[in-house]
Amino acid sequence: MEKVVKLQIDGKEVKAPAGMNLIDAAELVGIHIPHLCYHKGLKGVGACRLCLVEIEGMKSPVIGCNTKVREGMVVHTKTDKVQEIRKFVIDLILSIHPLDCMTCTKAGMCNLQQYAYEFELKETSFTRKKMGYPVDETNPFIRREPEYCILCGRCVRLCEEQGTKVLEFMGRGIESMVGTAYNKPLLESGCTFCGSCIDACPVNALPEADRWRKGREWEYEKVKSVCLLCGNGCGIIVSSKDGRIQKINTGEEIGSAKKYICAYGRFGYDYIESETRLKTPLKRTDGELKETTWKDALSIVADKLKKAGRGAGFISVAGIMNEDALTLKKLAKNVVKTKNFDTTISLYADGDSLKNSQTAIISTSDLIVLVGLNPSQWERILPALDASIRKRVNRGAKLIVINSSDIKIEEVAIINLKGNEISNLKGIAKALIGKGLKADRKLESSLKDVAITEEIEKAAKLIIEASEPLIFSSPSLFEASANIALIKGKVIAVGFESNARGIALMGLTTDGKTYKEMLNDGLKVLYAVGEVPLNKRPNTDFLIVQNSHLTELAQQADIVLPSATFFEYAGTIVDYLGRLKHLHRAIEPVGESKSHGDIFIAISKIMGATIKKSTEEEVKKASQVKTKLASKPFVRKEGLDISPNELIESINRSVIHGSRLLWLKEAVGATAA
Amino acid sequence: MEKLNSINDLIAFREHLFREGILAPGKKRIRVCCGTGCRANRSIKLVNELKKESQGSETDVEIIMTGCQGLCQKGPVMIVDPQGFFYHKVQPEHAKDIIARTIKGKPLRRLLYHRSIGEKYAYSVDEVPFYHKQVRVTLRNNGAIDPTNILHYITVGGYRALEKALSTMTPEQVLDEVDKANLRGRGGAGFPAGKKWRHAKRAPGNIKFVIANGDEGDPGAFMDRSLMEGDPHSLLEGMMLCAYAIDARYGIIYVRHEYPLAVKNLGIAIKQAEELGLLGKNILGKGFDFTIQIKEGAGAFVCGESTALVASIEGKRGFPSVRPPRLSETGGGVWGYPSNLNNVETYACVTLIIEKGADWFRSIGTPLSPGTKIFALTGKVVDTGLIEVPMGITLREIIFDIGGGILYDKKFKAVQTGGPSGGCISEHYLDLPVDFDSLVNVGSIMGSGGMVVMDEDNCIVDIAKYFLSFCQAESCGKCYPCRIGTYQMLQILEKITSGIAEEGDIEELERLGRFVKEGSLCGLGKSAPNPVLTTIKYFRDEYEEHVKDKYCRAMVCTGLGLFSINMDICYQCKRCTEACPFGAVKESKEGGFYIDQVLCQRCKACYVTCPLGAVEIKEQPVLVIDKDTCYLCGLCKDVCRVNAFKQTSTGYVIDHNLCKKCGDCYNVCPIGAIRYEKVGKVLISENIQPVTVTEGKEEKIEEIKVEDIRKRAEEKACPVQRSLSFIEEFIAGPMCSKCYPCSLGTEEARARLIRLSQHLENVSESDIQALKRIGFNMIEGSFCKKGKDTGRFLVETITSSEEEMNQHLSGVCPRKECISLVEYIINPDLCILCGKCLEACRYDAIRGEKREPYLAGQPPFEIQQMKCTRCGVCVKVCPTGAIEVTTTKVDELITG
Repeated sequence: MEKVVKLQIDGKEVKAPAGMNLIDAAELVGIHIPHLCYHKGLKGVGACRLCLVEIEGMKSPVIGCNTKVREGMVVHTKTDKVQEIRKFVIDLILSIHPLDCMTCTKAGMCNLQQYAYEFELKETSFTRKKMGYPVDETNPFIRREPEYCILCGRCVRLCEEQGTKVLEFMGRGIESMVGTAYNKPLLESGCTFCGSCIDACPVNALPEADRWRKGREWEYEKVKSVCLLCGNGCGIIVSSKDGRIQKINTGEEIGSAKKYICAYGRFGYDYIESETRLKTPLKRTDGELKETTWKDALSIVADKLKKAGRGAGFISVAGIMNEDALTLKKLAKNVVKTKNFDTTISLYADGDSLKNSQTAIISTSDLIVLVGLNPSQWERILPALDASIRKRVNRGAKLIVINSSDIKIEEVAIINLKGNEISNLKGIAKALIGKGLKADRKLESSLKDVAITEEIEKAAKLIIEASEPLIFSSPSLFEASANIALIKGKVIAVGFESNARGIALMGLTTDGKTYKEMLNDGLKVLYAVGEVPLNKRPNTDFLIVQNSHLTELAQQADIVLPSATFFEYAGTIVDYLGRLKHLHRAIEPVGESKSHGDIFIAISKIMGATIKKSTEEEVKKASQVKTKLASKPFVRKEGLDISPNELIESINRSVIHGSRLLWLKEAVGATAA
Repeated sequence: MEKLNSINDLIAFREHLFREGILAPGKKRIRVCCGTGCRANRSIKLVNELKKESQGSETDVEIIMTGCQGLCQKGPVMIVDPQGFFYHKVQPEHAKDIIARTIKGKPLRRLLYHRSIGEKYAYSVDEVPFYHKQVRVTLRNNGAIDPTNILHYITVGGYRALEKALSTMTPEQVLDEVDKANLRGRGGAGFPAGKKWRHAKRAPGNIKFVIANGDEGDPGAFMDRSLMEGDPHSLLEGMMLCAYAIDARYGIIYVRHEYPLAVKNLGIAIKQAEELGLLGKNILGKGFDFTIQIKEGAGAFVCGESTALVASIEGKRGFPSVRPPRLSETGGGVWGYPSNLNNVETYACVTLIIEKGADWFRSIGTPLSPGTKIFALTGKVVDTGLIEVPMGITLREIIFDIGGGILYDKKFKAVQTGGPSGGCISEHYLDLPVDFDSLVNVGSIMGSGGMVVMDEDNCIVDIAKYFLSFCQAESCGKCYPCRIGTYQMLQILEKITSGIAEEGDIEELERLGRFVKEGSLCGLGKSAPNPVLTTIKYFRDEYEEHVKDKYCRAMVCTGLGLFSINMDICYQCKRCTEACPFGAVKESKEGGFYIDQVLCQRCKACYVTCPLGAVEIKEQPVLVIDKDTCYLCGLCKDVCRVNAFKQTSTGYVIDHNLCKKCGDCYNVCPIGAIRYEKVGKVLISENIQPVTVTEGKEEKIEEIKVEDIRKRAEEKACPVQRSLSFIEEFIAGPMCSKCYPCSLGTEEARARLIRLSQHLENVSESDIQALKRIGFNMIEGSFCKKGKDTGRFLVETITSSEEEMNQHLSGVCPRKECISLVEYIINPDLCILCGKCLEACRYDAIRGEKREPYLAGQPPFEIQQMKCTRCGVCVKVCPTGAIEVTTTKVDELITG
């Protein structure tokens, strides 16, 4: 239970949790203390001197960003003295800042503009100076305009906290600036183009490279949604204008990593309108795919499915929404009456591990254990997980890595256990029991002949000392990791696709043939939903592909149905931490494309059965699975060893090749070679 | 060397060294100063020569390389024992003589010190006035021992304080002793060291750091440097005592990379102490563990600030951070561990306090600031160098008794204490006792001990500018008041020193300084305005002189003053004429030289070059016109080369900012209406009365038709004039300002046409292009027919006579209608002196006497170009056509 402190700000009574700073506390009662360098979620550094406030009983003004609330404090935020200093500071900044607000991209959102307006500064009263810094336009994602930079340092601190560490201050005095090492272009300095700095910048020093004349901030229609491109399922805010997406920012409250989304999520949206986007259904006639109508295409599909019956099979990606999954299950089970329906989850996980995962919050955990996982911002495998772990480590949390191979996140780990994961997990379990923690007997007896090294001993000590240990494991090692969580902590299996956990909860796991079996068993009809990681036509008589883009697989299909992307219809997912997240429609579907669920309903209608549209209640009901961890033998599940890197790239092939991400892929390839 | 395992071992070892005869008194010994200053003056070579000479001799002479002995100005210096002869300005060539005399036990007279010719020679150190009033306790070993030899240090009583503390005192007692001594931090602010230590001791955790701040970045300061170079062990001992008191196990010395000798000597000292077991684990068998590491800074002034220093030690950018947490608290020190940070000199004082007791320490100095303080005395004094004086000594004593007064007997102006963050103290406070609080009271600070003396040749504004520019360049860039505020202050100072300051700039400077002080994050920004604020406080008149009189009394600032050549002194060597880059030094008719004020840029080249000092810099006077006397003859306006005269409704005024004070108008004025005056006021616009608008009856304005305008315009021959007249009449008449192409387009067209017709600066091809574009856009974009017609007229005019338009670009009006491009000249061959033009001219622009035609042969009439308005009346009245219109440009080509 957090302690609540009572204080007075500008005559208003404020109740704020202990440890909160004055800026946030004032915000609770709607008082805004001006600030430029402070950013919610980052530590206050007191550089901008705008948040100076006066506290009764203190001689000189103190900065609000670094002063914690105290019982009985009486704070004045708008005394003449501090207002004068604030005006002075803004006046100074204006003297070296371009005054081109009428064409500036940031107009309307710029903090400096806002404060200049508030303090009635039309022009600076000092000598104006232009530094003449060159603009960095070497990449299609982030534009660096040092001329606008006010050196608040938000981007520097953010970049450092999330572990990318690309930006830093350079130079002294009036000539100090923010730059990369040796002031090289971003690409050569290890930048992952996540664009977090864009969200942090209060002025126009770090805009999106293509933002110029793509609409002003107030013209956008903003919609909260979730990015479905990888296992993180980050919250995003989609800004659109005239029915087109113009930019994407991080979702503030939702999202598994509070302020982080990667380059895929932020810049990949161009693929919606790429050349390969499907706008109408396609039908193979005379060996060639030709455009056709929905009516024609669906009647063929219905006909084929009816005839095939049990011989039909459905494969899907796990990046579809819960509602789609439920509808697909109904279609396969109740209408087509086949048991063969499975998703790409079975390539890297089993349904049980995902279903049995616990729910947790990273931001309060003080010890994180990574088992067999390799989150990496640079390779874009669960990049947001990587960033949020690094952020936690920066805030004092500890990290233990258990992995048989060398991985990059090791560098921030306090303990790094190499070698076989299973034996390390066994060792930790034994050490924990050895230190007096309770465990069930079955587990205890299975650990008789386990050796404990010094490192394992240390790791166990840390787990005992921690108040909220959190274990992230790869699904193949989930049961082994869960044994530790039985003793202390929480365990979560992390899938590589956004809705892996949701799909498992919705029950879209096979009763008949598995995903891999369906590809080779020569089914009569194979129905592939989404961008399944296949390049070659599987062994089947009739192939139906339902996707938003004309992929290589789609080109080999007999019928191609155009589906909408996740920006184009609403739904829900369950992310790896077990949270239900909502997606909202940001734009209208392109061409005649339809959502997955709508297509399934239309098919069943032609087949003579009616499926109701799946609702949120249904989803919630399905996701309320009560599970209990039980001790299991320490084994690694076999056959789940797909490389996450390849998987994520192949399910996002259309995204990468249909957007400016291709530049990144090629440029990184070129620098690596 | 064997490790010393107990206190007794150390005592025995010291006795053993005594017996060995190390530094034994009575022996022939030469102590050569090898501090950085003397090293630069070849003292190493001197030592080598001395060694070579002494080897050849039979008598044994020991030669020791010591740290800085203080009198750096007269280096290299040395002391010859046992008599204690003090030699100064010794060169390697003297080595032979020195050895020879030393063996005999006699002094080498020509190297003995004396301040002036005729004054008695000082034989020993004590007789040198520079050392008279000094109390060298912290510096006691500087000059006595070899800093790279721990045996020397132990022999002279080193590590006795450690011995005492470890054997007889508890950590708490050590702390109490420091508290009792009221030792105040020597780094600048004077915070009591004991208090600081207690904070650190109270902090939880078993890992604590003791850090010595050796990042001495002030220009002209070298106290810590000399201590680290000349007596590194006393610093180590002080840190050990602190570590013992606050229970710390790790020590860090933060030294500037620019102090290579300090880094080297400290390294040697640490190694030797470790070898003897004075550093490391279980020191002297007392279970006290302590190690010291050296961290070299990368040369940033801000890293002397405690939080920035911590960041720098951690390997981060030297950014200060907000406090709390303080260094002594958890989370504030290096890597988050509680740390105690003190200046190098503070630790060196601790050694003495523990060894000799707090009472002894308090017996020196003042009650509130006990002890001594080391200063680096530099600037315009006779003897500069490193001095150590008891607190409470007056500035006068330091400057005049120790420093020997001002160089060349000039007048004392100010003394700057505390480095770039300190302030300038004026003559008024010379008898101020020097301690922490008194200096703060007069707006300065003790600082780490820099003391720069300035004489009358130093401009106070220039000094303030120098110190501020240092802080500005060294600002880390984190907070705005410091980064941009100091920059803006510097801009104003730059204005003042280059003679373009305006009234109110000093006040603005004060305002800015106050804000920067209040708003800055760390000590650097909070103190950066100090030099400016204190100089304004004590030398305001000098600032005002710069601003109002444009005069720098020290003759330092360029761009100020009135330069003249005193012909009584000048012997016409002509060096100034060669030196002047602007050709402003000219030969006068009388045979001498004078400086043409219009050309003079006040660069001071002539002033510096003149071997006799005949070039004088005086205050800038102000020229004023006496309105009552002036009868508006206009001669002054004609003669002025910089167009500083402005005609107003009430007569002429002089634009103060344009006037170069050349005095031409003063000379030309026939009735003496122009005067020189001292204090300047803003003269422009003073006498211009606001135009009063009298309310009249509303007149019915007749609508002007575009057709009429066109007709009138077409009377003009020149296309530029034709368009201009059309546009101007259009703007004055039918233009309604409803749509933008008309209102803004015609205005722009008018400006471009005027530029063409007057051949103003920047006129170019683009003007004609712009006119065309405006014309076309008006045809397309105007709301009504009037605008469209105007546009059409513009386009037609330009396209039909493109050639003539282009000629205007080179300043030629082929139709001779653009009055700025033509001149009216009277052809003397045709002029019959009839005087008709004289009568016709409304502007009195024609000079001459009316004569009868038969008297031709008299000087013809002349047109004064400055007054002529090219109205053309004279051309019409001239019966013989003697008045010709010529193109200015062509004339220039022919004549020039």
